Amino acid sequence: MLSILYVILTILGSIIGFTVAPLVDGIERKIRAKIQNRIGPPLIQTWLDIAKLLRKESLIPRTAKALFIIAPAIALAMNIAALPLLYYGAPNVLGFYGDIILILYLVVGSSLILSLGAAASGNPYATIGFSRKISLLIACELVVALSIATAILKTGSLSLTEVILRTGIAPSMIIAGIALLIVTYIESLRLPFELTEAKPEIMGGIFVEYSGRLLAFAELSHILHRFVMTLLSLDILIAPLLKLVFGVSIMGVLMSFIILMLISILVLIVYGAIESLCGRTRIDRALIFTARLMILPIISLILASIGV
Amino acid sequence: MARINPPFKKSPWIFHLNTGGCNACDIEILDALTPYHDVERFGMKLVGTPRHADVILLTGPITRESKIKVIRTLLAVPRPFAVLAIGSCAVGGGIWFDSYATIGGLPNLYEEMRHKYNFEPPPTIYIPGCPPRPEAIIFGAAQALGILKKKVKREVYKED
Repeated sequence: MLSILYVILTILGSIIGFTVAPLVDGIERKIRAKIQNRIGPPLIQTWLDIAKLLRKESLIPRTAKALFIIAPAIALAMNIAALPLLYYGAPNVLGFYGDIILILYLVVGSSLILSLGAAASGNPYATIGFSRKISLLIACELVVALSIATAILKTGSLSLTEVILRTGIAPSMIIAGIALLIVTYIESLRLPFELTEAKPEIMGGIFVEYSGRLLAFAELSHILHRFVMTLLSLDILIAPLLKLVFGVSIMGVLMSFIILMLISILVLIVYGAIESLCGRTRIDRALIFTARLMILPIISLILASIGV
Repeated sequence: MARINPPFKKSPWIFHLNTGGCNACDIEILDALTPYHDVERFGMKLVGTPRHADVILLTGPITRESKIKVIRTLLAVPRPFAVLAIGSCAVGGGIWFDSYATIGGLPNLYEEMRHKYNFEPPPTIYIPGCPPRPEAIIFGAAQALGILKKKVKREVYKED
């Protein structure tokens, strides 16, 4: 009985994540509009954009390689595949031993394949975006990998559910979660770090040659990636606490499911509000900032190795 | 002719294309994009590449120097899309309508592209004025999207 509820919650969470992530983008745009004292687009604007792009022609430049065409679909598939592997307040029955490594691969791989596809378009602006994205990706994913290594070292398990169920309140996990939360902001390419798109500077960067359906896939996978990363960092940061407070009974699981979803949406909205107050930085400064951020997961790794 | 219900009615992404104008229309376009007029409430977004564009805001009389670039830009836009010809120059050449240095407005470009590139002209809204007011630009955009009805219709004069 309980395990059926777990499966239902995981699938429900994945579906909610898929539908709500673009809506949260709409809420962010609404908040940005309110800060600038205007009405702003409707909440479903991002879904409308995607629906429109799906109905438009997809042009393929002469210089493009085959990877250019398949990359957005692969990136979208990787992000959708990562959704049901996450922890939605209930022990994930769909998970397996080693799924935390798979999540890491899917998260890194989706950004990587998207930028590789852009580089295959042959456009110089896309190449600049690609080089920036790769430098940012190397810096960011090191932090992500170290934070997840902390979780693995702390609990001695390679399964995300087991990591969360076994942890309790540990300083090392909290520091790792905070590092993940900050690196999520950087990696989801929000404004001070929106270097790979940079509309006024490199004309949309990695997305410059995409049009129609391919662009819709790329945008959707980009938005889903934000949600997946946010939920992953909240899984490390808050889910152990929720499990400690509510337990794994029916009511407790439902409560922690609702709270986890609400917090992840709230975090995305706060990110959007921060974004509307920032201007764009330079790639070297972004790299230095990310390199300084590396101190957090290193501390958490040391703490985890001495068993705190 | 303007389509009544294009797929981009709810989320037109606009691309700003100056074809050698004097910049006055461009300043008015930027004015139309400010928070004061708030075109994002129609879902409009300024994009940096023609590949993402649904509506092309074309200003200027299309100088000879810029002609080939304009043609390549229009060919790079995925269909369906619409064009707003903004300002007297884009509509019919303005005071440069018979200058050797320009081709005299968008209709002449369409004529040439139809013959040379087999290019079927997209729905086009002409917004005269030197420069047109931002309200006029937004009004024209709303007509192109089918939000508002056109107030004038095409009439052809025939001699008896």
